[in-house]
Amino acid sequence: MEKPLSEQEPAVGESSGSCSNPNPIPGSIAAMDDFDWASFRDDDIMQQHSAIRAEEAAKVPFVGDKEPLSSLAAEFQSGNPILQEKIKLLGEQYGALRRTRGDGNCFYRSFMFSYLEHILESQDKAEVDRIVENIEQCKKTLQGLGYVDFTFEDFFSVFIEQLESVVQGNETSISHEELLQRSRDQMISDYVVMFFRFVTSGEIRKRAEFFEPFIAGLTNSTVDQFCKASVEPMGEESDHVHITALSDALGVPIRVVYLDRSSCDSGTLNINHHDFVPGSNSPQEGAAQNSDANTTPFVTLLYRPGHYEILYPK
Amino acid sequence: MIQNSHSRSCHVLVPQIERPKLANLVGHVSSSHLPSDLGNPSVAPLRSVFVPKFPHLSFSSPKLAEFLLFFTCLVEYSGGIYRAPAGRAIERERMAAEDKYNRKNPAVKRILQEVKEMQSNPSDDFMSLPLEENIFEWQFAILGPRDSEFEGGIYHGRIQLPADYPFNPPSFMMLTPNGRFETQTKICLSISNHHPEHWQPSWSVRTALVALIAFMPTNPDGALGSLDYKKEERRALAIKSREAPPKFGAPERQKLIDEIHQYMLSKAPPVPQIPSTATTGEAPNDAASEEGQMEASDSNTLVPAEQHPHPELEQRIVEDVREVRVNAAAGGIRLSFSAGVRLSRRVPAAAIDEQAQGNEARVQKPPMDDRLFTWAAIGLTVAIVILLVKKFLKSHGVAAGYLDIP
Repeated sequence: MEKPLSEQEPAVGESSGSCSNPNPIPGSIAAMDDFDWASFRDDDIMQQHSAIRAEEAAKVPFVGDKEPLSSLAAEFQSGNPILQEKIKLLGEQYGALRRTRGDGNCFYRSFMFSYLEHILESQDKAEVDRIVENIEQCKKTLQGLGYVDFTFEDFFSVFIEQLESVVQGNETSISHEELLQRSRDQMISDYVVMFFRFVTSGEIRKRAEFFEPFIAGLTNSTVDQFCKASVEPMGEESDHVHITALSDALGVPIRVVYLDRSSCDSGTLNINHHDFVPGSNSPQEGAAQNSDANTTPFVTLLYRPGHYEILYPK
Repeated sequence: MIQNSHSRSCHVLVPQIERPKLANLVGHVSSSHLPSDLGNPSVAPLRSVFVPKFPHLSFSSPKLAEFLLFFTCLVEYSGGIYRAPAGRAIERERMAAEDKYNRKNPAVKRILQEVKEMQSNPSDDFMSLPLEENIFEWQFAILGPRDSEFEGGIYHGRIQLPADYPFNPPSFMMLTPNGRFETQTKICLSISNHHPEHWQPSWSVRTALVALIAFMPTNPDGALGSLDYKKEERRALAIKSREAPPKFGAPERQKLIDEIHQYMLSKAPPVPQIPSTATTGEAPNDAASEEGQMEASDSNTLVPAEQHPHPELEQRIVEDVREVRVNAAAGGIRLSFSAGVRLSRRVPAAAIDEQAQGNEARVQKPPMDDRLFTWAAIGLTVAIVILLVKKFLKSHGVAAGYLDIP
């Protein structure tokens, strides 16, 4: 017969007692049964995870405040001379940046805020209509791939909700300040990140033939494995493949500015950037669809190896 | 007691669940047993519980389907008195949950969606429901996978969903001794809590249960919380598991466990029996006489299989874990009772050539039953027509006089 669990493993709960419980379920449940879940073996691992996350969270919010580019220069004051030089060059074109938390979701969080902020400021209704149509298409893609509706619809509706609220003139409209607050709200932010992850995964799977060679070069895994291991789970970092897929699926061009130590032999330093232009990878559709408005990125991200932040042009 | 606490090795195999297959699975009950356009969705549990009362029949027979349809309508018409306990439970849970929780909370919303989905597409291989007072705590039961030593076993367990579900995985724990997973210990699967890095929000309680079933026949390989009992012991536990559901937790939870057990009993094929232990009293509580007969014939036909086990087949199961998993994830569930019988019949003939044989067996048996049910249906229809005519005549007072004469 099974012994009560408290007898078997008396000390597990205490050994990591200082950590917060990763599964904060209302207290009534724990009392309801003979023992509670906190006393199980692998919970110390889970608690450690959440402790690390909490530590990171204390340093940077999901989306930070707008900072002048000089704060970046200050960060590298005693650092690599190439980087210092590049930051100076960056300052010629860009005036400010907004930091994001380095939790593996920074690309999506940066993109979310940058895109919604653009809609909020431009009130570009045509763009809203266009992306809503694309989102509808993404939904169909996922359904076509065999995803069950309830597994993704909540994430979709949270993003649509945010999109609708940045358009002014409705009861639900929100201010810039409120957008920032929402982007820092764990539930909203995570749901939107997950929405992007679904969209990205759906696009990659749908065009598996196109993405396959890139993925094989990146991780030596199949498209399916890649989506399962590197796209859909939270906290998995994004790469060129993810950005291409998201940009294509939503039809939103994205500029990524690279801040790294690379330099040319000729001695002249350049800030490299790459524009992800939707449709440019599928010429048969792209040529017809691409209007000029669609190719000038309004989402600009700064990439430092392993991390994305939002950049603001002057 | 086997303790593996020093080895932290775990299954890191992510279950091979192909989404399209999962989608098939989700839609199968309504489409394969009965025409899907009958009645409203709320009677789904009723049908699913009701159908297995004719376990030896093949449901591909249109006449039988007709009869069942007719009978289902009757039952429905009569106020659903045969409504299954599990069906009632589902509705009760859901309504209680909807009252109690803020539907705006995305985790609650998602979980309610899953309950609803579980309700409208019940599976023959598992049942899972949240507690009335807390939808983050679920009870479940799974059927032991076919063609394994767990076949026919009903294994109960509990699930806990984290507050930020579906961002974090559910935790699983078995309550029924099974010889594969320790009871009252969190199960170490890639899909469960132990490997949060593998979990993804597009999975669900259903996916996890399908994976759990698929994991049962796999080699534990020293994973935490795993047991490596001998086949005979597991088989004995499978038989024992049907006798009574485990006793666990508060009365509310126990009630749910009992209801789930009744439901699963109606779905469970008999445990394939070994002659020496045959006819030990393990007959399921609510089994009809038909099922008893079937069990007897099962043990007869299975004798050769038990005496000369197929090393080939065994090995295939052990070695090609992946294939077994895929099978459990996608097929299986669809096969229901009749498949079990067909399978046992062809065992002596040893079997890979299943399609032809299975069809043959099906052709041989059903005509009798078909005729029977057709006559029964006709009889009932005639009876009802007579009643209606009588009532019609009465209400118009046409021949009230001479009808009363006798």
